[in-house]
Amino acid sequence: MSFLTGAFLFGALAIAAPLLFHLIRRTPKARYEFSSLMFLKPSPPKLTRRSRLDQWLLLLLRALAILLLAFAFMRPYLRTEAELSLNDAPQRHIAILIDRSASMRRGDLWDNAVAKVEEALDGLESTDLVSLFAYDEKLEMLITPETAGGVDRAERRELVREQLQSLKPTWGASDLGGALLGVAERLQSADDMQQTHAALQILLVSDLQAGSQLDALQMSEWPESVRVDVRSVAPEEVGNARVRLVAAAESDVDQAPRVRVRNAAGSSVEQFEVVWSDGQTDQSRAVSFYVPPGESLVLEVPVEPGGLAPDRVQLRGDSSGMDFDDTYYQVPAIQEQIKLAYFGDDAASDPEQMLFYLTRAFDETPARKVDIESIAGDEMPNWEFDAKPRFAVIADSLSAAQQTGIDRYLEAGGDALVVLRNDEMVGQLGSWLGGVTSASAQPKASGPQSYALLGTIDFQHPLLAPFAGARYNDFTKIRFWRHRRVDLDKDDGAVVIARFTDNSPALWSIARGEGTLYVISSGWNRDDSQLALSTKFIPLLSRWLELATRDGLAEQSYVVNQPAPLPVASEERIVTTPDGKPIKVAAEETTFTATSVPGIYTLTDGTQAMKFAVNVADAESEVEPLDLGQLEQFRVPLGVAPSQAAQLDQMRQLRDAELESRQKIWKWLVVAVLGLLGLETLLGAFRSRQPVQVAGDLA
Amino acid sequence: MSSAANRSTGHPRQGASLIDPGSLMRIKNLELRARAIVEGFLSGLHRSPYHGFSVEFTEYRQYSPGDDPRFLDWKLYGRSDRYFIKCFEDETNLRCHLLVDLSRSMNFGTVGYNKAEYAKTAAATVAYFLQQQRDAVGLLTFDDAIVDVIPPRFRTGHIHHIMMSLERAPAGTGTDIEKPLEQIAATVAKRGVVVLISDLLTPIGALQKNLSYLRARGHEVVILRVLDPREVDFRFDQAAMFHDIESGRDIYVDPSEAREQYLASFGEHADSLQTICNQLGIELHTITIERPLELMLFNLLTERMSRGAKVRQRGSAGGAV
Repeated sequence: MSFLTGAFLFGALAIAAPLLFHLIRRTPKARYEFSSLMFLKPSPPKLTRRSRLDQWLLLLLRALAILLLAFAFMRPYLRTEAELSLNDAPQRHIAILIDRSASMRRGDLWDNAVAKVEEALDGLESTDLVSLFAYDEKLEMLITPETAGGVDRAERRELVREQLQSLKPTWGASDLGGALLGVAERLQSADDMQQTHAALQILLVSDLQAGSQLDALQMSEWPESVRVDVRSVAPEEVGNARVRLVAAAESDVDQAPRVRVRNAAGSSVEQFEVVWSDGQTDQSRAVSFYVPPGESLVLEVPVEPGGLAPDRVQLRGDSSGMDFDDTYYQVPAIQEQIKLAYFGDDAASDPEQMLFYLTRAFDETPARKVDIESIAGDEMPNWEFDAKPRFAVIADSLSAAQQTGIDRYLEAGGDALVVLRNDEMVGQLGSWLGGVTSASAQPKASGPQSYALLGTIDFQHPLLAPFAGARYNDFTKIRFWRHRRVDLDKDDGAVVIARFTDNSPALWSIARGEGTLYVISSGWNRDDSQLALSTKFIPLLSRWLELATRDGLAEQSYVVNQPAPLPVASEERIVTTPDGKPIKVAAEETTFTATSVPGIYTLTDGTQAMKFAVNVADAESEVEPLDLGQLEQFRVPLGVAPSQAAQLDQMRQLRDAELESRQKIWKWLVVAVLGLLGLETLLGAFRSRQPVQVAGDLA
Repeated sequence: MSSAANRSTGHPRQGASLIDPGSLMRIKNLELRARAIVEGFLSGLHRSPYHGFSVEFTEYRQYSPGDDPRFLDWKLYGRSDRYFIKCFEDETNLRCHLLVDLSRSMNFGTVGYNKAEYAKTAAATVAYFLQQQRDAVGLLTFDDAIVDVIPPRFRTGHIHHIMMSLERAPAGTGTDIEKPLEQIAATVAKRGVVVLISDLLTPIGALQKNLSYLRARGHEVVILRVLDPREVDFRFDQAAMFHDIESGRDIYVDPSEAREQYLASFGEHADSLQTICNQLGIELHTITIERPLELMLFNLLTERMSRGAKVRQRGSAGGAV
């Protein structure tokens, strides 16, 4: 016989109550003083006989009823099945997930994190299975759940310890959501594969900084069977400051570079210095900043004139151990001189002409200066090496020499745009353009309704790809008063990028050698269209310039682990990392992915060297503690999975409860109690009819 | 007793003339209480139609040989030429001993005052009444021992001594009626009237012996038995612990069950007492304390008068007093 709730046995102590009441006689409350008791004899309740049990049968019945009731409350049952063994309970599978993002470089965070993992390893049960993961923005599986088969559990723990010793924090940002989800899925799939039905647990060791990305959790459903036990590590210093270069506006050509210093909330330091440096020595005077905690400040930090071009801004005065984000790298700003050729006899000052708008489209910026070379007449300048323009706009009929020169330019990789301003140009350049014939001339519109719009636009084409977004793809406000209706020779490889609403080609491209020839069948002068006045005009021209820069880098600044797009090349290139290590990049590679360290990288393509900067992600500098409530909002169950012994205990309790509910012995006991109470009532009633002497003697 | 008493054949007017004992007990001064009762009682007497007729017959006696010639009334002899003995003053002047029981059992009372208070008032009343009639009154108070003894006197201020002695609070425990009776018998040579005021809740045996002894010494004994109504009817509404005031003993008694037995025992005791009194020629007046004191005095005097008449009749028949 076993019991479900043995504590109710104490209820049996209530037997003492009837016994006590039985023995304690009721002392009469009334009291009279009387002159003499010589004529009185005491009535039966005799105070001298308090301790004798008179109604032992009643007492026995009452005590038995209480005993049986206590027994029923203990929920007795008969244990008939075999005992459960430890093997019946599911084991635990614990995936240790350690944060090794750049923020873990602060102070002694990393050592603390490793110590926490080792402490957790020491506290595991012998049956627990362990795997090890590390994450920054990528999840790295160091000891995977699938390798459980071959290796002994104790050996796995030693493997985990060894891996931990070799592990170091990286410069990457932390994608906590992705890492958690990845580990959870791996745990679940491994559990499904091995059919172990283990209790799945992620042991997260991290600084849990506010900049951790949790977006992945929002997009996917968290597997309910996986619990997350968070062991956070925190540095002694709570503050952190960071420095970033503020992008200069295009109009601020002559302004000194500006930097933004942001101080974390709760920081103990407020006074900072910022200085330009080349990695060896300071290249400018230090500028002092007073930034209160939780605020940011933008100030100019001028570069010393005449010195070497500094490539980094350094922040000084940050809390100790918080210097991982105190340097911001920037490729020294060199203004690019871009030449653009314009074939046509337009006057740059005439607003009716196209050149007027073209010259005003490219303002000078610190990064770029566009010079437009206007070529009138039949001459063809000699474009050799650096003298050749980045892009050519042909707005007039070309002479034979010019056609030959342009052909050579295109073959060498140059890009050109032909604007068909009139039907004569179509006739003269039709064959050179590859079979363009005039369909019929579009008369100048006389009414407001007589205009054409771009009807079909190929946003997949590299030229218009930047306009593909919903905010930018509205071309309906650009009205074309006149355009040339042409037919294209389909065999010539012309790719139509846009068509007018009458289905005639508006813009198309033709590959010529290394270069590309674009043709547009309407001009941006006021007689032809509103294109020059639209918001699309300058981005479109800039895009032509970008596409023409085939041998240059698209951008010069990236964050750690962000792939840097490489220019097309025909042979192997070398990227030199900030620590001077050369990495070979095959010719067909379009991106460089080994941007694992912040600093200045140098891409060497033949004789040409291009630099790009890699910095620590901004989010990594947000070191305020993350609210764990966010994890709970994504329905991530926090807490420790029950150990095998605890689960076994729980199973045993469940089984016992089930047995008890099946047998329901307590019901019979309650029936017996009712029977006893009935008997007691009958006996009590019978006794109360007895002589009065005993009536007062009962409890 | 006194001449005034002997003259009275009526009874006090019922109703207005009777003083409620509860109101009376609120008067603190015992002498005032006694005076209020006696004066009311006397005024009742004055209205008696038989007032003053029996003086001559009882106060003069014809001379017989052997009588002391000093007591001859020569004035009467001068008028009537017969010898009369003026024996009146000497014979009728009473020496009265008031024996008042002040034991703890007398502290019991359920009508707003207790038996002791009633007994003291009764004693004071009798003393005052006798004092008014120029009789000598003495007092002996007792509980388990004799407390105060005041010999009978008739002089100015004596009554105050008696009153002060009566007003003293009782302090004893049990009732030992033997000692006071023995002492009276031993010390009082002159015969007189002994008025015992007590509840007599004592064993009959001892009482009988001492009363007999007292009677044997020639004393006339009058017993005023003072009881609380509850002692007589034993009406208690619920079972309770009964505490004996004298002994301090507690017993549990259910009155509904014990009443019959109590009344039987009590009645038996009372009957035995009455029998003894009858045998010894003792007047026994039983009175419950809620009854007016005038009635007590009236009964006492009526009884005395009827006894006096009987004595006189016997005297005239046999000549012996």
